[in-house]
Parts: sequence; structure tokens; C-alpha cells
Amino acid sequence: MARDNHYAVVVGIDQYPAFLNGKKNLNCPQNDARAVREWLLRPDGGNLPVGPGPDESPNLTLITRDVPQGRNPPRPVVDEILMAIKDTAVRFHNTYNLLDETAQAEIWNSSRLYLYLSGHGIDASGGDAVLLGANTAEGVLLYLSVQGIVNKFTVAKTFRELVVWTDCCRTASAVQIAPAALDLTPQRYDGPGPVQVFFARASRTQQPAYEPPANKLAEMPNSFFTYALLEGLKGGVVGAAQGIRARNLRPYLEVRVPALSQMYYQVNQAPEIAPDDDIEFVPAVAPTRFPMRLKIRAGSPFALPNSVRVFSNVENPAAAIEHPPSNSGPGFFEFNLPNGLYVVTPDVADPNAPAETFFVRGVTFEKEI
Amino acid sequence: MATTQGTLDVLAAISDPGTASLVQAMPPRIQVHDGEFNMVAKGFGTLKREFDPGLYFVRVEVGDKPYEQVVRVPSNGTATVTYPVNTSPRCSSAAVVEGTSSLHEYTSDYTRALSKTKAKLTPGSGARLVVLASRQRPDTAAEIRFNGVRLLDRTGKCIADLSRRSSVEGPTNDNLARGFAAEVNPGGLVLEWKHETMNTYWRQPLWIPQGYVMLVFVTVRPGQTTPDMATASIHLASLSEGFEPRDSHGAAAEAALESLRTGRQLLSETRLAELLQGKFQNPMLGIYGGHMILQSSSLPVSVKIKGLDEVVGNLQSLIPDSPDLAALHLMSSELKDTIAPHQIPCSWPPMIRLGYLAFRNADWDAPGTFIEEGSVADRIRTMLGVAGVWSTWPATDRNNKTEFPAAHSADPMEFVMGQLSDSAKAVFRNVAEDLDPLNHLIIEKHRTVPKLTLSHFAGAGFGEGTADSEASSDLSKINVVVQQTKPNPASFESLAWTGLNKKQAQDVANRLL
Repeated sequence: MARDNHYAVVVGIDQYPAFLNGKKNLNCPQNDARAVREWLLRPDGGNLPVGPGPDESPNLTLITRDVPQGRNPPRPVVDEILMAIKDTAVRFHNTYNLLDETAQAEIWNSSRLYLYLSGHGIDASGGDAVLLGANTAEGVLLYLSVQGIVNKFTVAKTFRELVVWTDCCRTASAVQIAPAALDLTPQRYDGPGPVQVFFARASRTQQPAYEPPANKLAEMPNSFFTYALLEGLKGGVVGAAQGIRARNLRPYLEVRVPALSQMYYQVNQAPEIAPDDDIEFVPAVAPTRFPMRLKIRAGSPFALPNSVRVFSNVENPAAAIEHPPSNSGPGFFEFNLPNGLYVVTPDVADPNAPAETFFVRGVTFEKEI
Repeated sequence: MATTQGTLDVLAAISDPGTASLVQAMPPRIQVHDGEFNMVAKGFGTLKREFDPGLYFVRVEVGDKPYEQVVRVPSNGTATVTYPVNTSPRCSSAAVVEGTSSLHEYTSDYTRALSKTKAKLTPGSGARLVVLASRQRPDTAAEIRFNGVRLLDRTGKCIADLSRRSSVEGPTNDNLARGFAAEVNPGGLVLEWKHETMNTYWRQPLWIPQGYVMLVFVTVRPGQTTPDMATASIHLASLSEGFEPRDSHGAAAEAALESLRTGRQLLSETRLAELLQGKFQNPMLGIYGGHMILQSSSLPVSVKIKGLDEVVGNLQSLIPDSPDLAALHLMSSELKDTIAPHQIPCSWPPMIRLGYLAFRNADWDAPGTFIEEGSVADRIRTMLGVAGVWSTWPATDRNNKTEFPAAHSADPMEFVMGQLSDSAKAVFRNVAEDLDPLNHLIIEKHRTVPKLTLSHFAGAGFGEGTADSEASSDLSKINVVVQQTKPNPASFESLAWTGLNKKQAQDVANRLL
């Protein structure tokens, strides 16, 4: 059953025509926003109600350069993002405002607001991530303080859960950051518990967030943070079979995002995440398996047996999870494994058989043993 | 059944004294993750810890690419991870100190010479300023120029134009490094520079103690000819001894500064404590270290207070008049919850932005007590750069040949008003109207009702949360809901973010109404 009390505002800003004559336009935010929307609408993803169109939801507002249609560029600007957030809060508040206390609490307890923002960004004090509007120009920074929005929702308690993902740089800026002009006083709800927040920023304070080089967009269509986020939410996190929660999504992002930025630029993009462990994103999902190839060196003890055993729990050999067929090919074994840490041994009954360790971390991986 | 733990030992592969000193100067950050990728331990240089038996993933930030290894920790045994020490530096800082990519034979000799030799340029005496720009990849070389960089005295008067070739000191290889040096009066100075991408000018306050040489290291990025001044690393050394690039305290100071820059702890608390308890000659180590203590999320308050007291005590004997020391003193008092009016209000901004913010925040409730009215520290309140380690402000009055920033304008508040952005003024107006009992009407969707409209609706007589027919018909055109709000004096506190103090904020609100 769809999660009728989950709402989302999804924003992607890729073009900044007034900023250095468009020389700082981005390639990915539009893709990022669409991909996040796709996950939010998937029954095995965010599971928001779908309709009237197959990629629409009454609970989701997508704002990009060309959605909604018919606006004059540059878009999106900060005012329309704020308006969408406010409208979403009003819409949800209206669903329970006139109900009795018990019904109100029931709806509120199952409520969540997703806020996803991708575009250029700057830094501010207090752990903020500040998104720049598409009409930003040199010397005229038009921005949205995301921490300010989180603070307002935390006070107003309009929703029980707040999931905020920002995929933007947090490099230095030079303006005073005013709080967002968002008044949630009329949408305040005295819920029975505190607001739970999962706020993930793509990079640490004063650090940039990256998207792949333009010539790599075919293989990597999203900004690194968003790519890792969606990969994790779709089953990439370790322990996905037991559910995807803040507690396993966070470490996944902390390991996966730097790995992606290392792969393309040899830089360390480390996300900053303030999780609330009780937030569950997906109840349980089949773990995504990634290709892994073990290449056997000449003379290696792994060359003799016809198969190998792979363990994720070395203290319990009975938990060997793979017996790859001997016909993987001459000189190598291939597997599809969920992300995690593993040890591999020759498939022999010798307790002192050699062992090699490796990890699977979301990409095709080859190791020589 | 209790599981017997095993030991994980992570250490560097030391092959010679050179790699040993590199690891000691800037110990690489080590992280250990469990099978679910949770970070379960971290350390610097070496790490030895007991863990439940199982698989772990060790990551060491060494060189351009981190060293990563999966390791099995056996029950009741030891697993050892030996990471290779890449002789390439681990820190891409501009500072010419051990462990950074800016240190090589040429730049270290040049730095020593500039710091020890009396400069040709002598706009003052008693202290020395050295600005050293260097490239990290000489293969991309082109002549380095200080385009758009000037040195101003504390009144805003230009005392050196660094873009002039005559201001360059020493026998230089202009493609690799370029240095500027001047004998200056102790106290406040301002370095003014141009942000190449944004095409704007910025100012950064310096404060050089009597008898010291201040070294400002900056990087020239690949393909550029002008240094990126925002990357500045600042160090101090005594005039008599000069700066020694291979001194371990310089490397430690740089690691502490890098920690402040990135928000990541790059120096262990134990090592920091060792350094700060000992006698240090580079006072910047104390200043950076003090801020590192304040920012630590793991140290108990009592330990922070003790550490800060030691730092402040040490710095008091080295640089007693420094605004950055005064800021640490204030922040330490706040930690002790014993904040008292500061005896001398700050007139020159601390170099470290967090220090300036401490003064500015304290001054909100006690206007003029912590920041001297009309001083440079007062004038830059609303202009302070929002991020970065250093206090900076945009040089909006650069084309005026007068002293900065509008130091002698007849009406100080006019200057303040001139610095406020339109969005800032809008917030003031909203708060001011909230405070004014006659103007309580606010339209949702974030539009404050224009004054004319307000007076029109005021006569219509509708009550809270509703609108009468006349007003409703008008309002339906713009599809908004009118409600009456109550004055909320508390919302005035929300103006603290502007950087003004309470008295100034009240003044601005009154002028905008």
C-alpha cells in the first residue's frame, strides 16, 4: 500500500545563465532530480502514491528547469522552491487539521517530508548547506538556507519525519545567510514526539561536491552523492535484506561517495550526515549484487581446486555464501555479490588453507589471488 | 557466549629516517570500518585496538589515493596492516612546511631567506610581513604575479602594491615561487586581493605582533598566474630566529589549520595536547590549536577548559595584544559560563573568523561592550564573509580613495544600511512590521502586504484567520489567505544573524519602517 502520508519536494537546478555567462552550468542536477523522483514513486522505493500519470504523484512536487512547463528562464528560483515547500506543508496539514485528536496523531505518526535539492551551493555556519537559485549572478547570490528550513520544520513539527538530501557544494561564500522566508506557524502541530531528521549533505563544510566529467555521463549519469544514495536505497547498502534504514544508509554513503570521487577525480568527497536511526526508508529489499572477478595467479594455491568458498562471516564457516562453479573460466572465478567484506578460501577441507580478503563496493571489481 | 577479542595493529612501513619524519610531521588519518561499513575506530599514524573477531576494512589517507585493505581480525590473535608511506606529501597546503606539497629545497631556502633578512621595503619597523606564492606543480609553470594584491595599513591607506615588480624580494624563479617582504609596524594590517572568478576584491585583516615575522603562504593553481589568496596559510616566527620550514611545530600548526579548514580532525587530541603544553615558538599553533579544542566534539568540557587555559596562558606571554588571543579568552570564558564584560572592546577584527564571530555574538546583547563602536571591527559586522577560516570582507569601497571602511562617514548607521542586501532589508521590514501593533496583517505565501494595501484592508474590519466579503474578493485575485498576526517581540531576536548588535538592529528597523 502506498505511503499516503509521505510527501516530497524534489529540485534540480542545472543552468545558471547569469553566473559567469553560464560557464558554471552543471550536467547532472536535472538527471538527479528525475532519478530521485523515480525512486520515490517505486513501490519498492519511497512508495509515494502514484497518479494521475505514471510518473506523477499528488504528494510529489518536481521542480527543474522545464518542470513545471511554461516558465521563463532562469528556473528554478528560490521563491518557487519555498512556495512548493510551503504548499506541501499546507496540503498535508489540511489532511488532518480538522480530524479528531486520535486520528490526527495517527496520520502525523506516519508522515514524512522528503526534500531533495541538487545544484550549485555554498557553505554557511552551523552545518548549513545553502542552495543557489538559477537566477544567481556574480555579486547577487540568491539562495536557500537548507538548515533554516530544517529548523523551521523541527519547530513546527508539521511532519513527523524529515528526510533532507542536498547534493550541492559547500564551498565558501561571501554573503550573510538570511533564514529562509518560510512561515510554518499555521502548519504547526503539537505531535506526540519529536521530529526525526535525516539530513545528508553531499560534502563536508567548505568542501565541493562533484559530478562526473562530461564525457563520463553515459556510465555515470548522476552526481556522485545522488548516485550512491540511489544505489544504496535500491539495495546496495549492507544488510538491505533486513531493511534500509538510516543506520545502514549512512555508513554506505560515507564509504561509497569517497570511492566514486576517488575513481573519477582522485579527490575525497566525504558526505556529512546527521541521521536519526529510527528512520526506515525501505522495509526490506533484495540486496543488489555486483560483479566480482577473482583472477588466479600462476602457482597460487587457489589454482589447484576447482572451486572456492566465499564467506562474509569468517567465524562461521557454515555460512559460506558462494560455491562458484568450476567452469567460471580458465584462471578466474566470477561472482555476483552484495556489497560487503568477504574472505575467500580454496574449497578444500584443510583448516589451514590460505585465505584472501576483499570487499565489494558497488562496482565491478577484480582481485588477483 | 562471550567472544574473545582480537587485536588490530595498523602501522606505517618505515623504510628510512625521511619517511619516519614525514609520518611524525603529519600522521595520516586511519579509519577502521566493520562489515556493515560503520566506522568503528579512527587514529593518526598508528592504531592498535581490540575488536570482535571478524572482517574489517582499513582506510589510510596517505598520498593522492588512500590505502585500503580488508583484514580478518582473529579471535585471540593479532592482525597487522602495514600501509606504504608515499613520499609524496599528504597535504596540498600552500605552507612551506614539512609534509606539504609546497616544501622543496628551493621554496624552503627562499622562505628562510625572506623571513630572516631585513626587507628592502620599509613602511614601518618592529615587525615583518612575508607573502610567499608558490606553485605545487612546476611543470605547469608560468610567471607568478600578485595582480590585484595590495597591503593596507590599519586606516586603509595603501602601503604596498604587490603587483609592482619592485616589491618582489630575493633572487626568484618567478615560475615557481614569488615572495614579497616588508618591514612594518606591529599591529593591524589588511591584505587586499582580487577573487579571479568572481571579479571582486576582498580584504583580510592581519595582526603582526612586535618582534615577529608573519608568513602568509598562498598557492597558485595550475593554469593560473595569480595566487588564490583564499588558500592562505599563516605562520609566525620570531624576527631574530626567522622561520624554519622543517620545524615539526610548523607542520603541526598546518595540520591544525587544515583541520579548521575542512572540519575534519587531522591531528590527534593527544598530539595536540603535547604540542600545546610544551613551549611553542609559532604562536599560530596556539591559535589554531585553541580553536581546534573548541571545535572538538569528543573532548569533555572540563578538558577543553583546561586545554584552553594552557593555550591562553602560553599565548599571553608571546602575543599579549593579539585580537585572536582576546577572542580565545572570550570563547574560553563562554565555555566556563562565566562571561563577563570584556575590559577592552575589540577594535581590530581577529584573523580567525570564528574569533570575530565570538565578539560579534557577545556584542548583540551588550552593544559596544565587546566591539568598539565605529572601529573597523564594528564596520565590517554585516560584511563578513560567511565561510572560511579567515575573517574577510568585500572591498566595496575600494574605488573611494578614502580610508576604509567609511571610517569617517558622518552617520555610521548610513554605512551599515548601505551594506545590507535587499533580502536582509526585507527581513528587517517583516520584523519591524511584526513589532508595530498597527501593521499586523501578513499575507501567507511570504508576501508582506504593501503599506497601501494594508491601510485599505485595515478599514474592512475582518478578524483573525478570516476575511470579510470585500477583502475576500480582492484577495481571491492573488489567491492568498489573510490572517492577523500578533506582535511577537521575540522575533526581534531573529535579527541577530545580521551581525549587528541589538541597538543597531533596532535603529535599522526604525529607519526602514
